[in-house]
Amino acid sequence: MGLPKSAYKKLLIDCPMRVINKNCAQRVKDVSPLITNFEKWSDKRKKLYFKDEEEMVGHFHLENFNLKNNLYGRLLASPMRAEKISKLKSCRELLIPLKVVPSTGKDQHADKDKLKLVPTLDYSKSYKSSYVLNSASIVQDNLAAATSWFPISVLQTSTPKSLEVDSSTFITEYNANLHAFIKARLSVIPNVGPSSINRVLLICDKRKTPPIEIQVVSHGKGLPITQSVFNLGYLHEPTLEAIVSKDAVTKGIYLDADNDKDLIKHLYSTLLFQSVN
Amino acid sequence: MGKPSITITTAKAIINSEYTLIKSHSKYKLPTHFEKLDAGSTKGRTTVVKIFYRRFVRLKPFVSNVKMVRQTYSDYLRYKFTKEDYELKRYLVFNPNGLQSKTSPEPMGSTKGGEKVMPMEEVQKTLQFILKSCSYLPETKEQKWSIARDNTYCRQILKNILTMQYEKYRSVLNRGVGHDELDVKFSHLRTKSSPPTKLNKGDKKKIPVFKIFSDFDTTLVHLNESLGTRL
Repeated sequence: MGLPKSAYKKLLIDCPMRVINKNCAQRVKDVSPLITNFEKWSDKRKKLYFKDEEEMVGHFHLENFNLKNNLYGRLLASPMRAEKISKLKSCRELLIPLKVVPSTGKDQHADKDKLKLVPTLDYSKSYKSSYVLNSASIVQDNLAAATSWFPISVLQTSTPKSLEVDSSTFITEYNANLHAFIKARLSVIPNVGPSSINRVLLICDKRKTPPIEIQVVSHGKGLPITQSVFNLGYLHEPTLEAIVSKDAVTKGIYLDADNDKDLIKHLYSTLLFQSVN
Repeated sequence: MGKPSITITTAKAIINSEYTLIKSHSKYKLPTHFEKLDAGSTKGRTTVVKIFYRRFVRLKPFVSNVKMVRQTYSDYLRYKFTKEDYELKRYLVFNPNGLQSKTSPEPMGSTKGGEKVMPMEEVQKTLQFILKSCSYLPETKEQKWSIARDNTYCRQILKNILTMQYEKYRSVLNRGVGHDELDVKFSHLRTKSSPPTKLNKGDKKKIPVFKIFSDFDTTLVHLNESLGTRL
């Protein structure tokens, strides 16, 4: 480059002339601490680097928790969504999803623009949705303000008159849907034996108090495992009770934790839905 | 079209366009020699608790890049290590009606002469959980590991716990919910025995807020039970 040597000297850090001359070759090789300690100011998200799974499990003793098949893990890992009554955020799977559908009531007058908010069992992307908390009594108490539960995008674009919520059937409809789903699934379920991990046992016992229990069961050889026990006696549903207690020996049925994830999730939310708090 | 990316490798880390990946693990490794220290003496136990606390705090830069989240994380750690009465919380989750009557016995082991005993195995599992949530595996389209999915779950759960903690903090600031109600007495986990008509206006407003926290905390305690952690 066409710069005179004196200009370079001015740019260099102030150091005696002879040192530069002697160690010149070496100095060029040295890399600036900006590069050697770059991780300190890279400003990227920091993570611990592992070569592969073997290094992680073998050398580092980190085990696989198998959260994919753990009901509670899946519930807690779901994304956070705003809840309409308390105005707080909570995990999506712990809330009741509501969807906006065109109202199909008495269609004598122009009902086309009317929108209705109904509770659903499963969140689905195809509808605009919002969420309320999972409790029968609290939702019942707050039903008077139910039109404010519409998603904000709907509230902004429509007139208040075109929005409606059927407050008389809101709870009962959701409850009926939930129970119908559980019944339909339970009646066809094969009675699998106790699985080895993440097992769920359904029982129906009116005297026992806790609706959900987690027991540690010693499992022959090997480590003791945990099993969740759901007590459906709280739901006051005779047909469910009949299905659950048909096997007189075990007094309950085991669910397949790997294949009936949605059923187990709905059973859990039903129990929370009914709990008085 | 991928993003233009450059990878810088230094002695301690690999930096690409998205992450800073720390290669040296010695500072973060699970402590293995603590069993000797934890031989019952109070002094040894204090040392072990400190060892663990330090490990958790060291992971703070990995939890998030956002200062506020890091602050929530260290506040949560301090709360878990010094204040929280986990036995009481656990007792309330599994006996929702247990404390309705005044005659029912207080939970066992909640206070043992004022000295709290840290269950080391659970703390170690929890440290594993946090380590997993900050780890990175170089996955390609051909090479995938199932443990990487599990790590993602861990990260999401940790993130949600911190968000929830922030929501608690916010509702203490703005909603008139007492800090001791949520963190010390766990009022949100106790069943309301009095009918809602008797409650005053302020208490009525708390009911939905409490329900959100109680659902989350209940599920969290259940998760802890099934994994053997203490998040």
